[in-house]
Amino acid sequence: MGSPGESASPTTRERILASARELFAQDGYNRATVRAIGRRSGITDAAIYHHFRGKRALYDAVLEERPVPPRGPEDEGASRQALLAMIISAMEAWARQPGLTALMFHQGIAGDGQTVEANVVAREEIIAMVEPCLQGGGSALAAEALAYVVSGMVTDAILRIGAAYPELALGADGLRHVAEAIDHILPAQALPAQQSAAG
Amino acid sequence: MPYLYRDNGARRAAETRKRILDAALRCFAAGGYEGTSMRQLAECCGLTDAALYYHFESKQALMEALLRERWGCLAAPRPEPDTARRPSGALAHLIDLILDRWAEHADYLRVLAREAHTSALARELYARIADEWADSMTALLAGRLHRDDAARIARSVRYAVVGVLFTGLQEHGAAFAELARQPAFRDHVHALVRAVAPVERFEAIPAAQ
Repeated sequence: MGSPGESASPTTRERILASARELFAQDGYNRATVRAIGRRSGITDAAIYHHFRGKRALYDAVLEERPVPPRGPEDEGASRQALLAMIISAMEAWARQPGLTALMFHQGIAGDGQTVEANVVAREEIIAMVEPCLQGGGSALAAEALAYVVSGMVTDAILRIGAAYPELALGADGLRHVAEAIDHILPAQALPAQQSAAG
Repeated sequence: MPYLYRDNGARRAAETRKRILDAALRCFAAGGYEGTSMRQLAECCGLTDAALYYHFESKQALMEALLRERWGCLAAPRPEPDTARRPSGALAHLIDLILDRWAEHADYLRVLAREAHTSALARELYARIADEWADSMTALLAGRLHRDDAARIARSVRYAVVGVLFTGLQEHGAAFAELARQPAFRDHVHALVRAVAPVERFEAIPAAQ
């Protein structure tokens, strides 16, 4: 149990990690250097190497602290609204560290094994979260399709505007597009009133 | 015949330039921008460093030329409007054409996605490509569905397709091009597209006979 003073100010390790996260996000893994992370955090290289073995260890620690979306509902067959709210809360969780989310995309494309694995886990989390809401035949395929829509929206926004991506993916249009996709994927009988208006 | 010589020289220079861009595409896709040196590129093309620099003054200039000159290969296909085909069949046909482009130009897509982290040009070109795919899907569906329905279905399909593409590039890397040719993978993409694009539910305009 630390004193109040200790818990209020970040530890050296936390300060190093915060700078590493910012610099990796800004310059990418390859361009970032331990020296530049030191300059940014105002901590000597020697002190950084005391906490981390090198650039790779820093990156792994940053990856370790990625935001984790909330879990899905306990009860099966939640409503369309609950499904939408869950997906948005997952997207909001990633958006709390937008630079890291963008970095993980680019490092994944660069073929970094650990990052790819983390991204696979993120997609599987979305599938596990939405599948209980999609009852009936073909629900596994529907859940996978919805997970691809969500990952595609985030990817599309990252590729357009980088770390500012939540402006697009979680903007008014973005949220409307998630709701549309849910309407398309849910079985016809679960659709709201607009379906009868179109017919 | 001095003019003939000059033309031959220009043609040879254009061929060398193309050879350099082809090699750069392969090297940048595999090793990334930082992981590829001008010396390696020169070796890949069987050129001296000086000859390579004659065509491109820097690695930066080479990357820019590559991005600018090759993006057109990914522009959306514009299939002939085929009124005999149902909208779902027409959409499936377009997806097949897009899958062909992925298989053929996977290296370009990897380079584009990697560069987008730090290059405004790469972001701009991605946006153009993605918008073209969406416009192409909307145009394809617009004759058969109400315009708003066509646009919203095209949006969902575009997001799903972008998700599948970049997930596949991450998980399969250089093997993605081969994967995009495999019937089982293509069938799965079609099934995913049908799940996000239930066009039958929206069919509102009577089909022209």
